[in-house]
Amino acid sequence: MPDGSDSDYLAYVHGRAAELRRTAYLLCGDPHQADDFVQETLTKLYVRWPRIAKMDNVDGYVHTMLVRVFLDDRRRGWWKVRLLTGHPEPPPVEGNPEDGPVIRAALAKLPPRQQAVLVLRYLCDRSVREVADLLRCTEGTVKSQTAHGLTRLRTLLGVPFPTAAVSPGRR
Amino acid sequence: MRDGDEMNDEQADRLLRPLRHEPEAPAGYDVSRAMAEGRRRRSLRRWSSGAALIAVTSVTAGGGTFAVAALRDEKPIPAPTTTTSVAPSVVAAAPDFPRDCTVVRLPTDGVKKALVTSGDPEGRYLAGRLYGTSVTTIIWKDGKILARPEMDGGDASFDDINRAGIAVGSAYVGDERQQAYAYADGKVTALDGEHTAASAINDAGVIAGAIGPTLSEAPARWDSVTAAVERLPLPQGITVGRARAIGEDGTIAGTVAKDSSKTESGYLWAPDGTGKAMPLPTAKGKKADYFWPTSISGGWVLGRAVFDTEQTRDFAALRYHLATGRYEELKTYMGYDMLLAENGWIAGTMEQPMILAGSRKVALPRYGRLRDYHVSSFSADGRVVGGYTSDSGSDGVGNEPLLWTCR
Repeated sequence: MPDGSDSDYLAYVHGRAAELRRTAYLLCGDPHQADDFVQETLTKLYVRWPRIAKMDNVDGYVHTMLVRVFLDDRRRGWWKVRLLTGHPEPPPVEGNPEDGPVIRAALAKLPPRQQAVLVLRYLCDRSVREVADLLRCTEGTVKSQTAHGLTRLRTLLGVPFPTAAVSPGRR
Repeated sequence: MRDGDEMNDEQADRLLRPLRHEPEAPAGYDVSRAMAEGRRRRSLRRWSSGAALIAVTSVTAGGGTFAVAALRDEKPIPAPTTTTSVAPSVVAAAPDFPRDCTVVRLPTDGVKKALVTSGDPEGRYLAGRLYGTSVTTIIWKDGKILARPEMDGGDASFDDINRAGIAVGSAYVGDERQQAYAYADGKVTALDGEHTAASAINDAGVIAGAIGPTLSEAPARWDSVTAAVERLPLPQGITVGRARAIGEDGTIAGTVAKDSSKTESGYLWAPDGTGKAMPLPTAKGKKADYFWPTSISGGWVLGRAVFDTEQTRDFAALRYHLATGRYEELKTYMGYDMLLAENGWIAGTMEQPMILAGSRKVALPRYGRLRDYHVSSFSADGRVVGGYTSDSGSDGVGNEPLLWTCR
């Protein structure tokens, strides 16, 4: 029974840190930066642990914290890029659109929230509903961010627009 | 919902599939550091909120105004190696205190992120951790790299080191099993026992720590690096705990609880192994719920009294006199990381790293413009402090390993 103690915190972290680190890594693509995100998330978690431990959905809360740490970090860098280049539409990415680093570079040019939505949906296999919960937004917003993100990603990578899109889609 | 211009999920999956990797390098986050930093943030929150007013008032009433001055912290940030403490020129027989303190960053072979985890009583050896490298442990001697000994397992850390340069610590091996290690004569060896962690070593080479799975550890001791592990005796009904600090005479301070669902509180073992619970002190007009010892030196145990309510956890700093069994409340709360020297001085962190010498508070110089500090070692003479910074930068939390030296 979680009581907000250090031993509870340790039990929780040792059970869940690997999953947090995986999500952090998929979000940013860099193992060291992923560690930094996890470190900050675990610190924030400890600060609030006496209260959080009593919540129903600790996992969801912690993953929301992680995504926020990622968004905070990305927003700083992203605004810098926008201010320096002077326009919000970045140039296309050079290279094979099937190469991991090329896709990662293109993904990094998307607004942070679109990056998070695409990673959570297509790399972490989260449903639209789960992503909406994690980002504390509506399912409609997740869907529109997904569509916008994919369109921009495709443009940046120079991937042809699909002709047939017949899929029930994951919800 | 979707039109011909949009991708379906399968196509999106395919587009992003090359990014589906598992992180390869061993995990570089540090749970104990997250807890330490989390505790510091918890206490800072209180200092900057309503509870802080009460604390500051009681500090002032207790006869000291240093804490209030420190909280205001209006001093400019000194550059690295700048002297902060100034010796008075015309004071005869003034009480001793650390002077002319300077700070340097310890060398790390080009590794950007590193921290100090412990130091020896003489202030010559420091142990630390490196991030972003395969070998994550490092030993410094006299401010220079002595060795980068590899400890098998993840989250490896040397948690104490003695005057002979023997370091002890632990790592997680295999399926999240802790293993205690020692570094001596240039090599790392596992201490006796599985599911073990070493927390402290004294100059006689006696090691204190814990044995048992992570959440049901019991206090343990090794008489030397090669000795068999022995469980420290626990009273009836107490099943979990950990030995955390060991004095030069072999007295061990630790924490124990009935079981892992309970919060631990202070316990002492004499060199012959006989134990007794530390009484719960009264501070701020309240009896504490727990006492957590952090450091033992010169016949005193330094620690924090813990006051819990439903939503908050507050602390007061006290020292416990081993010979008389009496507590003394410190005039100043020195943070979660405070450490005790043999002469009674205390190193800790409030708004910046400090040494408390009697009633005099000596601020240790900041390193560059960095603002977040932790203190992790304090020499017996109170003149050498090891620690690190933890400021967040544009690329996440950075750590600079630091060595402060005073006259």
